[in-house]
Amino acid sequence: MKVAKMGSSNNGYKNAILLNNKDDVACVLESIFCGDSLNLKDSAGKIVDRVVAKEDIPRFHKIALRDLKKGIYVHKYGEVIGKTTADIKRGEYVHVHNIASVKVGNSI
Amino acid sequence: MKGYLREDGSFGVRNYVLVLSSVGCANHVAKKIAENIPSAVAILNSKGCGQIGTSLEIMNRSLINLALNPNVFGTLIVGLGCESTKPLTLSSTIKDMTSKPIEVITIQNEGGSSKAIQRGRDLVSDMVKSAAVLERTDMSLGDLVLATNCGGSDATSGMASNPVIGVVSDAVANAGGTVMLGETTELIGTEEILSRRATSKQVQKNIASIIKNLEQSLLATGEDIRGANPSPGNMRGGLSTLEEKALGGISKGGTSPITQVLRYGERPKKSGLVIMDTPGYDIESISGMVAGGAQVVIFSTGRGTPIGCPIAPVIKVTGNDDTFSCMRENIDYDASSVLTGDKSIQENVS
Repeated sequence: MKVAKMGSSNNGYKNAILLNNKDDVACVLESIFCGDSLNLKDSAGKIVDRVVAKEDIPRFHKIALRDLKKGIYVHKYGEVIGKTTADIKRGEYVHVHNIASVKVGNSI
Repeated sequence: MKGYLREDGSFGVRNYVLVLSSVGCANHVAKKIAENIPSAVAILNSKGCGQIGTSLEIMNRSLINLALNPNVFGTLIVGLGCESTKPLTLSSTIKDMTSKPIEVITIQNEGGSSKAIQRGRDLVSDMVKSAAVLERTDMSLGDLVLATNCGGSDATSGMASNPVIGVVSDAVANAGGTVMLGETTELIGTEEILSRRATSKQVQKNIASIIKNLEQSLLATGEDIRGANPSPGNMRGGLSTLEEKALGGISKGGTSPITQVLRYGERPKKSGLVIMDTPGYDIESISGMVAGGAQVVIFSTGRGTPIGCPIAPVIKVTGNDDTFSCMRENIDYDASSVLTGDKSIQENVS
């Protein structure tokens, strides 16, 4: 798979994609190392934010865009994808270690 | 864009003569009838007999509505003669609903396979001649019934191909067309979200009911779909929860309000975004939506698939550029520029 363009064209910034402007998380488009700076692009390609990674994050996984207290809803695609199970800081890696489904185990 | 104007005001993007097998026993004859006749296509039947109740009802509705699809100029029904689907009844039911050419033969009535094949080829050849006279005229995006589906998904599907397809879906719905979202298995976990987007209480109730019925039938066999998703592979790809996986799937339907919930193979009465209760198996799902009147299927795939449909183009979109180059002959559009940061989701559609 092609890796996102790096270097001078992005001024050292890596890319993350914001699927909905309401989202608390974005998907990183390449492997991220702690301290990397990311351009946050919306679905129209506009850079809407810049964020510094506080942890390593695998390609296509999620980065927090704001501080999220334990026990609150997390949004992606403009909708709830789960709840935080720990405090999460902006720039941290968001995955199964700090968020969980609110649907699994619930009856409809 | 251009299409073939039908008497009911719909447009076909294709102009096929359909040879429709009403039962598996007639498949060989149906196939031989359509063979090497340009514009003639056969749809073979996986069942058609030994079916009762809902199963037979779904089969009959699907066969009838396939003949009504705007991509079909006319239909020859090919039956054996003693099957549950009753070819003569199918034919008269379709004739009551459309003025398209409809013919029917049964192998038992024609005196065996060879005679049925010859008689069928004569009928189909005549129909093809009439079809060839039609010329395409201007149609708009609002004349489309667009089916959406995904299969062979990977980590790129929810980020690139599905959101890109979602932009197309919104364009069709906004133009007054219809978009179909199916695969009920993949809606599990999104019931409240879909319900909020429903245009009426009845639609909300129907959304809840198709998901509940599916989940209960799975639980009855000991399968818990909520517990099984996302799979370990999904998690390695970055999906954390069932909701996140399901939301990636439904993003291909776009953001329009949901106007109707359809049974398998049912024709929508409303435009906008509709949900059809189809299974997760791609071929069955697509067949149901094409029976429901979709002229075009747009199909999201990460791993790649050769899937097609006898009477409707299936446009394959991938967000995975490895898949695009590896299966170039099967995949129509490469949306991987979303993931390299070269082009945005919206730029992939304009």
